[in-house]
This record gives sequence, structure tokens and C-alpha cells, in this order.
Amino acid sequence: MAASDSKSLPSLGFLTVVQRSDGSLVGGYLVLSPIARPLEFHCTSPVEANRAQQILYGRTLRPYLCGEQIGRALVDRAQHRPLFVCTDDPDILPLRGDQSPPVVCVLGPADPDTATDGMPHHPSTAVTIGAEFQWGPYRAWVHPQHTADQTTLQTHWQQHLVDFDLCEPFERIRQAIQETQAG
Amino acid sequence: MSVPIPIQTVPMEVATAIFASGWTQALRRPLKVISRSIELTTTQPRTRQLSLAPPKIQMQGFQFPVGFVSPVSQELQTAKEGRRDPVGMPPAPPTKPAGGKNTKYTSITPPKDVIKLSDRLYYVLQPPVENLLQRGSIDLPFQPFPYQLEGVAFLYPRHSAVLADEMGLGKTMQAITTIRLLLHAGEIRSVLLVCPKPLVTNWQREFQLWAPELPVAVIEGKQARRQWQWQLADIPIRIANYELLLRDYEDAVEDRMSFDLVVLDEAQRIKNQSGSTSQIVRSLSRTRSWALTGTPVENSSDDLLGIFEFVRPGYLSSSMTPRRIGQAVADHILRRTKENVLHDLPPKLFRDAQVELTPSQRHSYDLAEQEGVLRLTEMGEHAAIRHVFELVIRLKQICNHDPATKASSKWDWLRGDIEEIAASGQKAIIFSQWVETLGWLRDQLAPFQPLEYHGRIPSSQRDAIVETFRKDPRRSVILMSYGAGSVGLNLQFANYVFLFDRWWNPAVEDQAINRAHRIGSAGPVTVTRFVTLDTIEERIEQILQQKRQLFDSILCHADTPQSLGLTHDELLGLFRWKKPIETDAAA
Repeated sequence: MAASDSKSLPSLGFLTVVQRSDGSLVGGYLVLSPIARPLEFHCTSPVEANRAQQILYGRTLRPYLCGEQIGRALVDRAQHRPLFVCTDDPDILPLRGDQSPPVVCVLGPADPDTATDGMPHHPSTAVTIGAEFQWGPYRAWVHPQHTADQTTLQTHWQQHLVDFDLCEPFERIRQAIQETQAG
Repeated sequence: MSVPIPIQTVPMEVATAIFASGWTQALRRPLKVISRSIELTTTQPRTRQLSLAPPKIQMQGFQFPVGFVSPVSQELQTAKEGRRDPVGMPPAPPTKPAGGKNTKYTSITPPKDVIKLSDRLYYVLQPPVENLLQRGSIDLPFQPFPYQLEGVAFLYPRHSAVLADEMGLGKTMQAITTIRLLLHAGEIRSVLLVCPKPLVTNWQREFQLWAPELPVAVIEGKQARRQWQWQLADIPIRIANYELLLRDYEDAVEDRMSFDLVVLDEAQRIKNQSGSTSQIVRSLSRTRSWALTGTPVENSSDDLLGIFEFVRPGYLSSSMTPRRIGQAVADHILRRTKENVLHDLPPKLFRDAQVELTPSQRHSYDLAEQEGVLRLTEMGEHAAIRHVFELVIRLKQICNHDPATKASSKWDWLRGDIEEIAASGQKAIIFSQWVETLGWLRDQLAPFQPLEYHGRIPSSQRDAIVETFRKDPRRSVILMSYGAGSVGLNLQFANYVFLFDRWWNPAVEDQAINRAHRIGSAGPVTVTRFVTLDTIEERIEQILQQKRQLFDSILCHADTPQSLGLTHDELLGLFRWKKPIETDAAA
């Protein structure tokens, strides 16, 4: 049997942020192989904005923390560069930079009859800050300044994601965050 | 920054005229302007800077091994790419639809004895079983029941596990599917499955059904062939029966072989820790130890201790109370009953056929009992437990049929039932603990061409007998001994089970009944339990009831006496006779 070099395999990133009861945010980033096995996982300690940031960032605070701070730190920390980063939180879309992989927010299957519990988290935000498109059975958004990502993502869907439940890995991340917090 | 004050300009052009009076000169004089300087304060305004530095983010990261790409996985990938199809089976429907409002996944949770955070996360972050099957392109011939996927999720992360589902719930399928997943993931590479000899072909068949791509080697044949089979490279799964393992251990296994996983089927075989079978399997070099049994507790909690000496050596001790044992093993044992999980399974209907002995049977029975007790009394302190046991057996056999007159009240009852069953095209299984009784029943049932399946039937013929029973509509009855027919057989096409006489242990009776009452049962299974009134059978029945309580107590964490087996005193107590000496042996 031959050992595989995991970094040579295509990988998929899943990133979400959990809000704790005290208001602080904990980010979790899971990199999966195309058959949904975990390759690496990173999470943050609770992150809390100070009072000044709360006042001065206003409504832009959460996208700033989730996307630009927590998300970017987690993705930069990972050893795998995924084909894309999938999130269930529209506030993570600002993670997308010129050098980062495409970032896509999925908000459950487009068909309301098959909508998944617990999603979307912030549909109104997503609508205002993202460019919507149909990605497989999902309603999805990319950053409005990177609408070309849609084409790339459609290709990835055909190659790696047909019948992949994109919502499921986020539950794993939440469980893992719970495990790290308990420890 | 200050806010500018708004200024509004109003035109003030008002018409004026000067009238001649003493004041007019004064009005022509210029105005005298007096100026005054006011010093402005030059204090610097105070400012305050608010920090907007990004928050400091601390992180922890975990890397997971991608595992090994096993030849099995590569073969499967090749097939997936359309070059060839090693499975050769029609695709099964997807295990679960992807996503959706009602998607319920079966998650793998880390066992409680996994302490290290990275190890726990490794299991927490594994895909649910449904996704492992679907994304791994692992086709199953049938859609598993949800509880079976839970069984897979239970076994997958465990190095020490007892799958103790009631018979008929598919322990075999759950074990094979988990082995398949672990092999595909590269987490294990060599598996030894040990089972009773009659079940080897059954396991082979089940592997072919549930994991057709996995190479399986059955250890069998002459010694030289077996030696070669043990040493075969690149065979991930070996199946051996207990007897062969004992025979080959020193020459072929000890110090030569190490297994990633050893699975014991019908693991109650090793309940006796001092037995050679137990000692050999415990000495196998292995990483994971699984035991499959529908009856982890047959007679006393010591049975479970014996199994755990293989599964997790030293974890339990005989000084522990049943409640403590129950708590300790809770995370290592998964036990489900049909009532728990198979709400759609046809009912199991019990019918206690309490029959009076015929007059001639009663005469023979009373005479035998009186003679037996008299003989025991005469033997006094020389009477041994085997003498009591011989008397019990003799009396039980008379309860079946009187050897002198051939009279049998049980047969009188059974005949009518069998006639009806055969006429309606149904199938019946008749269990007895004696081959002699089965032979006598064979003669009585001759018009129905009964089949036989017991210890005197060569193993090579047994599969064909079961197939005949399954397929031949003219063969409505099969006669089985508890020993040969109580484990591993799938006879769900039979709707009637007769316990012509009762075994010493209710767990063995349950196993026998569940040959018919299992997944795939087409309709209700009627179980007829014969008991002759006012005989030794009725007294033994009371003890069997107590044994059922013991089983429940350990698996339900209730307090109960340490052992409710058929003890020496209980055996003696079956008769109105008291042995004059102290005894300490148990039956």
C-alpha cells in the first residue's frame, strides 16, 4: 500500500463562525478531501471586538471580524490550498482577496422543499453584499467584486461536488468547535 | 469641529427726514468710536484616540493523515472510472439523499476512552456513515436500516467493542460494512475473523454479498494448505473457525502474524477464561478486538468477563457488582433488540404448550423418578452431580416420549400442527437437544419428509440441506439440534418454531427462535414451547425465567445476584432429595 501525499490531492475548504452566548466569535476551518474525509482543521479562540470597534465599525463589524480577521487568519494558517472556500455565513465573503481561492456562501438548496434546517444564517446580508447564482441545487453567493468565481465554481461542481451535501461539513465544524471548547 | 452659526441678512432701508429743531446739529456730529482689545485663549483642544487595531487571534490546528491508498481502493477507483466492474452488481440506491430538510446523518462519535483532543477530533470530523459510503463509492446491495448504520458508527472508531444485538438484527452485515470502510480508509490492513465451523460458509457468502471487492481467504484443508493460506500476502481478510485456529496457532500464527483487527463471532465461545479457545484468541497479536454475540451473558456475569478479557484485557474483575460491570462496559457494548429498532418486524407469538403426560408416560416417569431418587439416596455421600444430571436427562427424555410404549403427549399435539402447516405450504423448525429425539421425530414425521440438521450431519452437507428446506415446497419441516442449528443460520422463511424440549439456557433458546424471527421474516413467527406439567421440565422452566432476569440486570444496570446459573444445589433441588454432604461445584 502506498502512502498518499495529501497536499497533491484537490481539497475543499469549509469555514464557519460560531457565535457564543457571550457574543464572542469562534471560527472553524475544515479542509476536506473530495471524498469528504478531513485533512486538516483549524479553529480560533473566542474573538471579541472592543467597544470602540463595536461603535465605529457599526454594521460592518461582523463582516470585518468574520471575513477579514478570523477567516483570513484560518485560511492563511492551513497547509492545503483548497479549490474554493465554502461558507454558510455571508459575513465571511469579504475573506475573498486577490490572492485567496474563490469564496462561496451557500444558503441551502434552492428548492424550498429541500431546504436544510439551520440555513441560511443571514440571508439579507448575503443578498446585499454578494452576487447570487445557482450552484448545483444551492442558492449561492460570491463576493460582488469576484463574480468571475462563479464560472470556476461551476466547473468544480461538475468535477468534484455532484451529490455532495455542502451543508453537512458545517455541522462537523460546529461539533469540533464544541469539542475544543469543552477541552 | 464646531458647527457654523446660520446668518440671515435683512434689508434695513427705512426713509428718514430731519426736521428743524435744536437737536439737529447734534445729529450732524460724527460718532466717536472707542475700541477695546479682548485677548483670545490659545489652549490646544484635547483629543482622544480610539484603538482600532485588529483583534489578536489565537488559533490551534490539527492535521489528519489521509491514510493509505489500499489496493482495494485503487481497484474500486479503477472500476469507477469505467475500465472494469469488479463488483458486478446493479447499483444500489444512494444510502441517503444529499442534503435536504429531513436529512439525518449517522455521525461517528469518539469513544469515551479516547482522551487526546486531536484523536477525538479525528473521529468528530469524519464524515457521517452515509457519506463515507456514498463518497467512497461503496455500494451496498440493500439499503441498511438506520440502526445498522448506527452499529457501523459504533464499531468504526472502537478498538474494543462488543456488538451484542439480538439475533437477526444483522450483526454480520454491520461488522462487514465497518471492516469494508476501515479497509478502504486504510485504517486497517489485516483482519482475522474467527467463527464456529458451521458458520464459515455463511460468513463467506455474506462477505461476497456486502463487500464483493474484498479478497477473503478461508483457512481450511490440510495442514500444508492451511500454512500457505495463513502466510498469503495481500489478503486483507482471513476467516478461520475456532477449532482450526487452536490447531494452527503454534505452527502458523504465534509470533508470525499480527492483525489490525480480530473479530470473534459467537464470542460466547470464550466465556470460560481458562478454556484453551479463550487463551488462544487472547494471545493473538492485534490492535483492535471486536466480539459479536447475541448472548454476552448466558449464565452469569462471568461470561461477560470472559469476553472482555479478549476485548479489553484486565478491564473488568470478578469482584465488580453487576451494576458496576454494566456501567463500565456501557461505552463498549452496543445491544439492541428487535423491539427497540424493528418496529415493522412481524410479531413473535409465544405459545406455551403445557401438556399432561399420557398415562403410560406418567407411569414410566414416576417410576424412573422414584428409582432415581432411591438410587441417589442409597449412594449417599458417593452420589455425584453427574448422577443427578443423568436422572434429569432420563426424565426429560421420558417427557419427550416414553421409550417403552412410544407414547408422547407432545407428539400428539405436534402432529396436528405439522399437518396444518404442511397443508398450508408453510415451514416449521423443530428443535430438540437430543439427536435421538430428533431421530424418533423423523420416523414419526416420515410422511412430511423432514430434513435434519444436527451434529451427526456432515458439515459439507448442511448448506445443501438448508437450501432444500428453503426452496423445496414439499419439505415443510426441518429437525434441528440446539447445538448445530441455533447460530448463524438465516431461516426467515419459516413461520413456525417448535421447542420440543427446553435447553438449559434461555439465551440459546432465543438464538434458536431467531433463526426464523429476523430481518426478512415474511409474517409472524409462532413459537411453541412444550412443557410437560408436574415434571422436571416445569421446574427447570422456573430457573430459566431467573436467568432471563440476570441478562436484563447487566445490560440494564440493575442489581441482581452474581450468578443465576443452574447451580449444584438447584440441580439437586429439582428433586425432593437432599445430598448428605457439602458440595461446591456448579453444574
